[in-house]
Amino acid sequence: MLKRKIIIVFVTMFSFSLVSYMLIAAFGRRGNVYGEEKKIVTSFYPVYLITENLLEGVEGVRVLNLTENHTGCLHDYQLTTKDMLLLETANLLVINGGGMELFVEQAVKKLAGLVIIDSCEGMELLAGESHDHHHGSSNAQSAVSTGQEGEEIAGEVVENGHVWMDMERYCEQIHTIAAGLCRALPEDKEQIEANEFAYLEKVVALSSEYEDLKESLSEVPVITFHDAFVYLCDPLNMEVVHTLDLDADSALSAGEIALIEDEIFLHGVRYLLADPENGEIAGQIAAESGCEVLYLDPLTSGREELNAYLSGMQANFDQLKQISR
Amino acid sequence: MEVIYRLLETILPFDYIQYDFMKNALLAVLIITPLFGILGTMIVNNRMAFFSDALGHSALTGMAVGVLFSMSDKSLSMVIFAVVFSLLLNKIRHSGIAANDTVISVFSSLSTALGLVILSRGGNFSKYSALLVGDILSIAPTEILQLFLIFVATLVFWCFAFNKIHAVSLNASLAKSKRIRVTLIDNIFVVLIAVIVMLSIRWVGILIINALLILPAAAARNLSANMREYHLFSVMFSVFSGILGLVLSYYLDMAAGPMIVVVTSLLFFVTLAVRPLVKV
Repeated sequence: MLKRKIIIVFVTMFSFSLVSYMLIAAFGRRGNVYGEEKKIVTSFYPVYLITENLLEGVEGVRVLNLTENHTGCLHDYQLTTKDMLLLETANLLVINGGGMELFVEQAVKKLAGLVIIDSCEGMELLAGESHDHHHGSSNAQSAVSTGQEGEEIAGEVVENGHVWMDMERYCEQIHTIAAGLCRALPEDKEQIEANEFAYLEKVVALSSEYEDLKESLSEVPVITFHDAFVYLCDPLNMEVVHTLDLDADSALSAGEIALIEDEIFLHGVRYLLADPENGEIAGQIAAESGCEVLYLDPLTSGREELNAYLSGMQANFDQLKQISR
Repeated sequence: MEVIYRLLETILPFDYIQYDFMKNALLAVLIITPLFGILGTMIVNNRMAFFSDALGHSALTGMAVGVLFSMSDKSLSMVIFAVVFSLLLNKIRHSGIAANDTVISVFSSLSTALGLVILSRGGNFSKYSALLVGDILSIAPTEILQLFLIFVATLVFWCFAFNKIHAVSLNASLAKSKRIRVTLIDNIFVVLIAVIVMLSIRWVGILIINALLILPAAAARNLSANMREYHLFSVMFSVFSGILGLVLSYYLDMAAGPMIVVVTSLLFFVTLAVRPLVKV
């Protein structure tokens, strides 16, 4: 009887293997789909846009985005075999840094030879999502951390890595990535530097276009429902009285909602800044407290166009223009 | 490690094996799956499927404890919590205060809820949601060694204590009359499950770890007539589905853990269908 069972088990396993082989033959990946070009892998959308802009017109290089415009922030992103394959065969990895890419930390530990450009290297970061409330006259800048420290919640260091939302810091990111790319691709240094100059020019032009917002929005109290918006408010000197970093799969406790409503009352907040992806709770709080919700784009995902960042930021500034004192 | 890598490349002339992450994942699968195959037999026999599921969920609280006490190594807090959790659960389970499934359900719900309460403060749970699905592709050589050591420890324990565990699972009173220390054996067994579940959970994930423990044994039970066959088939199914699931996930760009569970589940249904042919 055992012999019969073993035959059945082996026939079953063989059939499974055969079906799998047919599945792989029909739908599976075949060989190296990326060809012989140099692979510059980016971790996610904002650094992908910068790298694409910097390498525009550079021959023999291909920019590949690891997370392929995964919606929202990347705390819960899981690397697939395809991503691991991409990392293992990459010539260069460009990351945002500032704790945004927890999903690659474990993986890159094993890829000792992989050159990584951290776009936040040496940059001053703001503290992460906070339960410390900036009472009084403090504004977003009061939450500045040193980049290594960040805010400590139950011993966990939290820093806010959504730096691309501040155009000044975005320019620093462009410069850091460009310098890294020049080191890695010395033969294309001239082209990369020209691209850097052109892209920086566009960013600075947009930034100065909205310079007058600084005056009109200075000290305006707001509550943000995404850590990214703190960086948007910081250069405009807006007073961020409370920040939440909400993801699509997280919920606020009743106590936190009550606290936000108290803050709205205490600081005379009239505007809530939220991401449309998870702005439902902001809408409810606004309805209860008589505030207005301004929906902004945290630019964590979007169209793969060279000017996508600029148009995204322009739309965000246009939204902020609605704020009246 | 280099020697093992070269050996794998020689034995397996496939393109997926040229990448270190696939070699590591394969090695991890070759350790975890037989381990789960062996443990699963006794978990299914003792009707402890729900127990191991509850243990898996307690990983959330273990992680939360680590966060609260600022422990740098969260695996340690998870293992410590799971050991305490399993011993406490085992004690109450055997005290006869309430029905087994009720006690396990209460513990499971409490540990899940407690973990979620702490980890989701400020709407921040997604930072820890990687624990739900696991990521075997990012396992490092030191962690493979850790799994290997627990694998060896399990084999040693199994060689010396299997007959006793089996006797306890058949009839605790009879086992006591044979001077078997029933409570001690039972406690060591649940602690072993706790340690293995916690050390593997980062690679396998809370949502599917129980499926990997239970399904190979459940499929093997459909065909087996005795303990030897039961172990043999359970380990065979477990290892086979582990390797096939990993290879399929590589070529089809899908998550490895869930793919392994899909293969094991299909094996279970096939064995269920052929059961009348072998169990007469």
